[in-house]
Amino acid sequence: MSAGADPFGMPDPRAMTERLMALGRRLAATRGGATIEIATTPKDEIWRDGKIRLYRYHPVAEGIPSLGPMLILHGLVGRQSVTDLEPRRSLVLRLLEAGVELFVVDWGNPGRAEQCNDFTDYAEFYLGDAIAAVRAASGAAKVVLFGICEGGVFAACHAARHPETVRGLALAVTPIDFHADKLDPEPGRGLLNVWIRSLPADLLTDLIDERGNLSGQLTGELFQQLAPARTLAKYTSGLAALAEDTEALDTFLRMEKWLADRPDHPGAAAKEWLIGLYLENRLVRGEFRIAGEPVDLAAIACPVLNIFGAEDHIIPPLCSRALGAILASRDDGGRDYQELEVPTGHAGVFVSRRAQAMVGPAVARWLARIG
Amino acid sequence: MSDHGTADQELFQIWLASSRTFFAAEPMTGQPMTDSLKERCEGLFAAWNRFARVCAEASGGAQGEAQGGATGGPFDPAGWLDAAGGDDLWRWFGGEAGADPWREQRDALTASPQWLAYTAALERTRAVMSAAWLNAFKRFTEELAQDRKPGDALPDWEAIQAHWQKAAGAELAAAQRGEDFLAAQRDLIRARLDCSALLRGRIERIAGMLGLPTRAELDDLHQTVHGLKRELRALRARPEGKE
Repeated sequence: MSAGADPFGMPDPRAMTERLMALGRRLAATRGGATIEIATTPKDEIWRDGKIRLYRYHPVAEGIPSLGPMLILHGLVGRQSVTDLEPRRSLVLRLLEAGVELFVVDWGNPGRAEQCNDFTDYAEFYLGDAIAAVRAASGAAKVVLFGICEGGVFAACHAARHPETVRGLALAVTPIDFHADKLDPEPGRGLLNVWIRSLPADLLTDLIDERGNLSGQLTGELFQQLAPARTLAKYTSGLAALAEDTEALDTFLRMEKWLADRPDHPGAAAKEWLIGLYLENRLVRGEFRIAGEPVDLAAIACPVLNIFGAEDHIIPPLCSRALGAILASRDDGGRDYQELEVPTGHAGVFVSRRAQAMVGPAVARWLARIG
Repeated sequence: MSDHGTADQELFQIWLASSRTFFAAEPMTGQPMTDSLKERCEGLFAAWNRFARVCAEASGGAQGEAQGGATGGPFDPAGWLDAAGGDDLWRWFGGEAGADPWREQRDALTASPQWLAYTAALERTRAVMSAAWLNAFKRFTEELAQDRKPGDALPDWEAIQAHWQKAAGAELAAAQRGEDFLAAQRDLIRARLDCSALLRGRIERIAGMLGLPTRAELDDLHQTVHGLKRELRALRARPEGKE
């Protein structure tokens, strides 16, 4: 920030004007974001069902990948491309560099034709099919799951129900106890939990039924409203500060592209997510049902790595860490349960500079340990 | 009535006379009413009264009166003025609902309460958030003044911005957890959904009238396909030879 004659060190108006002009030219050059590319790490499609695709990443390390196979799955609220924002901020690349054989599920853009898809479809059927495809492609008997946010709930449910195909479970920013935010002293965290709990189930049902699916645009707007002062600063002074830093501005635009690319959430699954989990907290009570049967998270038999953001305002750390207590209740005392705290927010676990040096290497070490 | 033919004939003559009177009236120009116009209005009023009387007779008004002064029936203009008769009036002028091209316009008018409820809920939400923003500014300026001692250098722009974000973030988060905000948000969502449901009902009706598939029909179809996919999956998973 250049200091002019202003006693507050505010930028000179002329310099600020030039900066904003440069910013405008740069933004116009992106042609509405069309030239901004994310998730460019090479990969091949190896399986599909309707709009759902499974990809296998090209190895980048020397020799045959020695770790994995690992399957990354995001939830339906956002998109998996956050794990591969740009080469310098790519968990995918860090894992490939460490020699992990890596796959990723893309749930596609669910439309009204998918409105009846529920958790059973995703956590049981589609994920089961994707795991089978990974096993066939890699020749491995078991697969390591890397579930992100809601995708972590899919992965945890699947691991609890099918220990025979899951060798390890890595979760990132995954809510398990949806009411644990009540114990978080930080008022800026867990607002989403508070808001959803303040709405009766019939209102949430009507909200989803209005369009058949939970609108991606609506969830995007909700996330922005969780921290209005920060959102305001981000698109004003924060953006202006990036005008002369091409690299930082490009990263900003890639992040914005990811944020704007928010799919609609299939209606039936959205009702289970908002009512069954956020409102009624059924997962920790052993009452959340997949394929008609209650899910017992204590039945997860494989090693678990639980990654969370210390400053995550969307999924408060306590909501994620609740899994530790559940696993500790099983016979072996949850011995193979490990946590990794990343000093960032929700998406920062995948895209922040600090996370690049932490998360990828920690996951690779964990994979090497569990064999 | 024994003389329906005569009554109908008389009704037609009266209707014709009143129509002639009405269309011969001078256009209203804001000038004082002339005698000629007064006469025509009085003529029209008299014609209307006769028309109403004949209508009542033709449709058995006397029987209605005998039953305690109730309106005489569907052809009694007096009945058109009460609330229940209003519906008949619309139906006769507009035809049955399905063939009523103006129904959508009238329904749009009846949407006003929902729309008003929505705008009121929106304003309540804005009021709660405006108060929160004002409190954020107040907290920010008070903390800024509190932290600064006489002779201190002015904090730089970046420090001020950081301070603002911290103070505003805390104040807004507190407000967004408050019952005022939560109630306003709840009311706003309900009001918006009510508007949307009303609009959807009208669109479904129009789609039905034009023979287009409705949203409800498409939803049924999606549900059927989803169920079939589940059944297919279950069949594939069944061991061979097992029924």
